[in-house]
Order: sequence, then C-alpha cells, then structure tokens
Amino acid sequence: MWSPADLFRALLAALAVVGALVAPWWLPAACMLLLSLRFDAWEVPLIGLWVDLLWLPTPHSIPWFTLYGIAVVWLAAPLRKQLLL
Amino acid sequence: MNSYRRHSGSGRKVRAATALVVVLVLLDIVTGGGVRTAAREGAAALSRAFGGTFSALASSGIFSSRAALQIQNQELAAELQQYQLRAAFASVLQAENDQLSSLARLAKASPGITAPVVSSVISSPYGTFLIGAGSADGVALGSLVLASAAGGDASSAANAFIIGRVASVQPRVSAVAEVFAPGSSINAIIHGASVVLTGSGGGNAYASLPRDAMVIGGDAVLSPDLGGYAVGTVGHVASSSAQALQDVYVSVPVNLGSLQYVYVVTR
Repeated sequence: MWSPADLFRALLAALAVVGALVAPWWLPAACMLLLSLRFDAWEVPLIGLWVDLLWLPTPHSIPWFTLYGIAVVWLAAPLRKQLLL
Repeated sequence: MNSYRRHSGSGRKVRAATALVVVLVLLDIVTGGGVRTAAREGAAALSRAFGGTFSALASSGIFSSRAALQIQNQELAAELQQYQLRAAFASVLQAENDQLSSLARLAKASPGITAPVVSSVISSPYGTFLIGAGSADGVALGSLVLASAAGGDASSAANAFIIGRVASVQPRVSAVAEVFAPGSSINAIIHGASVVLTGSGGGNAYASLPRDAMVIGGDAVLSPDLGGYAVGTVGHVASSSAQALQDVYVSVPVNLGSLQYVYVVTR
C-alpha cells in the first residue's frame, strides 16, 4: 500500500509527464524541481529527457530540459541530505 | 510525526536513471533519431485519440450545466446532455471544415500538403510543435509551414502566413520550429524598411526601426528569408520623440492555440 508521500510523488511525476504534452513548459519544470527537493527522485532526469524527445527542434540542439533534470536532481541532493533525518 | 523519510544514503536509483538518460541520448544519436521518433509518434497518437474528446467535452457545457442538471428531471437532463454533445461535435467539425477550406486556397498557390497539428502549441520550451505528416508524405527538412488567418479573402492566398519551418522530420510526424520562437531572429521587411525580428514566443516578435520609418498598426511584415511570404502584421508601435528608434511589435494573426491544420509547402 502506498504512503501519502509515495502517492504525492507519483502524482507529481504523472503531472509532469502529462504536462509535458499539454501544459506550458514551466509546469513540468516546476514538478521536477519539487520532486528533486522532496525525494531522491530518479524519475526527474527521465522526465527531462521525455520533454526533450518531444520538443527538441533538431538533433543538434542543446537538450536543456535533460540537462536541467540531471542538474536539479544532483544539486538538490545535499539539501535533501540536510533536511532528511 | 516526522514527515520526512529516512534517507537511504546511496542515490543508486538516481545514478542509474542518469546513466539510463545518457544511454537513451546516445541511442537516439546512433539510430538517427529512433528514440525521438518513437516518443513523438506516441505523443501524436495520444493527441489524436484524446484531443477531440477533450475539446468536445469542454465545449459541450456539460460541466458548466451540472448545477442546472441536478435540479432538472433525470430524463430531461440526459436528453439535454445528448443534444449538447451533438452540437459540440458539430461545432468542432465546423471549425475543422473552416480551417481546411482556408487551406485549400493555399494549395492553389503553392504545391504542398495539409497536415494536422498533433500536439499542443504552448507546451514546448523551444517554440516547436508536432504535425501529423512526415517524410512519407513528402515533408522535407526546412519546408515552410503556413496557416491561413481567419476571415481572409477567399479568392486568394493573401491571408496566408508563415508560422514556422520544419525542423525535424520522422516518417509520419514532423517537428515545426515556430518562426517567432523565443530567442529566434529573422530578417523581415516592414513598410519597405529592412529589420531583424526577434521572436518572443506565442506568435509574437519585436524589432527596432528608425523613428522616422512610417510604420502603423496592421502593416504586413514580409520575410525574404522565407520565400517572401508574410510572417505577421504590425500590432503595436511604441515611439518616443526622445529616442532615435521605435519599437515595433509584430504578431501572427492566427490563433496558434486553436490551430488544427497547417499547410506544408513541399519542395
């Protein structure tokens, strides 16, 4: 059975994945940030990759969302370690 | 109760996810866009499957009339819902018919194909959107993508505007980069003056012209870089006697958010 935290995490991730299709880009970006701050969220880099696979104009364009996903989950790690008991 | 979880300490899953992302990116490069193709065609299929349903439900008034339906007799309420759905679907079909009719006029002027828009236009952080036509339909990299402004003259293609160029082509789906994507720049001509338009997204752009250039709202903006087609119209001019330049704001007179079909000029 999922805990409330697990449910919140799953909903945020689902919101980011669906939002990448239909919502403004800042919604998945905000979800990725919240997930990274609150959880050891392995799904964040994958969500960033999902956004870039959908929308990146050319293969030579810089995948900013993928880089953002990797950066935010790793940069938030020390903050999570500080907050988690 | 402590609301935070005990930290596992290893970060193994995050490392694995990061490695998976790198592998998928490399796989996409090696396969020449195979991973991207799969993702975009899947997204296009989802959009086709659910997009019409959501539009019909949103415009049917079912949710807005929910309070009224609760008061009414159940039989009359069910009948009313059915009539609303039929009217909503008819409206959607009418809108589609209007768009296709306007694009048919474009086909007389330039060879190309009509393609459905199969993604949201507002979701991309890069100013791109997907169309349901690809290399199998004759779409090529760099093909111009046009849309017809609403209410234009039915006898000519004068109300056709370039809204983007094909930036990436897969067999059945293509990615279109908007002309006025954030940060983009194109050469344009406004009232005989050569300018560089800087895109700000959402079909809007701006440029700076000398203050003595006679530009007014509604002037057509043409682009020699894009086959001489119109890329927009002047929406607003901000001029001050204290400055040597005036700011001109350009917009595409096409509601990109409600765009269902575009015309791709094939080469």
